[in-house]
Amino acid sequence: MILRVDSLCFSYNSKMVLDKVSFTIDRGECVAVLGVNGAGKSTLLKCINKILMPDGGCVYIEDKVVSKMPQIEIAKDIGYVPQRTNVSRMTVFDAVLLGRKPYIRLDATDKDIDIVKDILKHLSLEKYSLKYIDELSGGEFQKVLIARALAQQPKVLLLDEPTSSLDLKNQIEVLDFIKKIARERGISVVVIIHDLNLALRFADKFIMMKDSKIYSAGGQEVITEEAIRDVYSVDVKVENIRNKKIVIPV
Amino acid sequence: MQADIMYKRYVGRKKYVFIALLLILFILSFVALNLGASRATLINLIGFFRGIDDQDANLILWRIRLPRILAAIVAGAALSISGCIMQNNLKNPLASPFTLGISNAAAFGANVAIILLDAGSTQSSTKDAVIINNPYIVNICAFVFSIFATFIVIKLAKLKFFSKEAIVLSGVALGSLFTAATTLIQYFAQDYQVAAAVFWTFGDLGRVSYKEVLIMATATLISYVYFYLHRWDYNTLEASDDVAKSLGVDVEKLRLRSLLLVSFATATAVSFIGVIGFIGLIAPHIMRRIVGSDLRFLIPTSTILGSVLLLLSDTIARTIISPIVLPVGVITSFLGAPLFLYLLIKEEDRG
Repeated sequence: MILRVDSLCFSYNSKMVLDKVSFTIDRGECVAVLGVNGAGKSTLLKCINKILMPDGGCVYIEDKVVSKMPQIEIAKDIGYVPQRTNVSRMTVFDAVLLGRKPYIRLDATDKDIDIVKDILKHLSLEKYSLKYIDELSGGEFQKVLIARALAQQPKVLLLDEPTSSLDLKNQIEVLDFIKKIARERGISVVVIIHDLNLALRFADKFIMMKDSKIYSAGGQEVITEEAIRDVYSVDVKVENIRNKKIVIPV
Repeated sequence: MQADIMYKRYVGRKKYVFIALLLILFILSFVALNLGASRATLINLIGFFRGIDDQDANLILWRIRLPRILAAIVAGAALSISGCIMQNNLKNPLASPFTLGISNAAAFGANVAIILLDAGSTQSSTKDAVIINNPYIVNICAFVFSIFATFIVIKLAKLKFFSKEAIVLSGVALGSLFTAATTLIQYFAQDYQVAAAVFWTFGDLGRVSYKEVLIMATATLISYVYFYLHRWDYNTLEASDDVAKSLGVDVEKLRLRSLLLVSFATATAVSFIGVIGFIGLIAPHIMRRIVGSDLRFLIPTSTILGSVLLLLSDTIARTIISPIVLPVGVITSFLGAPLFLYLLIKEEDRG
């Protein structure tokens, strides 16, 4: 077990956003967080790496208590890709190099530059190295953000809707890449995702959130017609096509 | 070619921009030393180094022009680096050293000194009809009120966890409060006091001697060192506050300290030379177009560009209708406003 979230609570202006949320994740596992807008998914991610300070509960990463770690040490263990980020006039290489920030003392070393080079190559972003990120397409930009988080060499990756602005090809490409790298490097991934079929294709485990709480968690078996009706208030059919579970809205 | 080699070359090229700017500053300083209403020229300067002693010329070169040139370099650097850090911290292209209301607060302080503490007066015979007869009181008052304004803004912003919006809005509100207070005390003042106070608010580099230059330089250097050491942290802010935190940066602490140091450098400069607009806004903007928003390069290059722009403006101010010396603030605004609009329009084109 690499990440353990234990009855995490968070409230914003006395409104409960997270209510005793608990789950665990193993090494190399990909977990999809599902739920309607406002269910507390983004807040959950931000509480895991202390971007927001939880009001109660505890997050453990390999038995270390995250709330007691300095932010810079957390940054070496947990990478984070937000839902929205500014596009500034910065080259792709520089943007990814920022992921080395937790390790940089005075200036980036050759080792930092090598790590960035490898990641760019892996994501086939090499040819864009010196392009400004404000000139990239949505898919390329999303990959750059993921590359930056990977440059942190984290044990856990938190992704807030990494595919929402991508076309079908890029959605699949980005998620497959994340899954591959999770397997190869033993990185655990927590991803917020809205497309249930994409989630079914990608994730090993599912956490369904409703009204600040976990509604259900587990393998593909938790994605049922009843659960989706409860969580999303939408009627769907869940069918098996070519041995794959598919969710069809009716 | 390998991405890392390309990248290293690209970074190397940016260093040339810095060197080129330094060279321009150096040449401009010599030109400025040579130009002016009096006959002192570079020939006297060469003569000086050869041991030929022309006392008048030496006086003009060493006692009047050189401190003025140094003041332009230091104040230009202080304003520009402050603007650069403010624009980064507040993620607002319109942020400047004066966003926190420092210019208004300093002007209020100067007015208090000149009008309420009677530090200004008139003189009828000379061409400078208005003089400030106790500059130290004025400097100190301007400085104290600038720092006071900063603390108020920071206190207010702290309530909102140093959100960018909170900082900008408190700065604007406090600025207009100080302007109102200034108008109020001017309304009840004598004519000559108002004249002296208005005169003070035109930024002018002719007021400083080596001692003041040294004080400004120290304040600027302290701030510069902090800013440059935190260049990577500022770069993470370019992405977003959340990303910065996820990369291990203590955003609130960084923003608090940055604001304090910006205010310290700006307030020191403004207290001695008055309000000089546009340098702090435009120098970082120009450099951002050339070296990008990477603070590793933006900090050093916009610092030097600020010096270049202020020195250029001051040299124009001294020579354009010589022997009359215009306040440099007028020139920076005249040059700055069209340049700023030009940049804005070009920016639109690109988008």
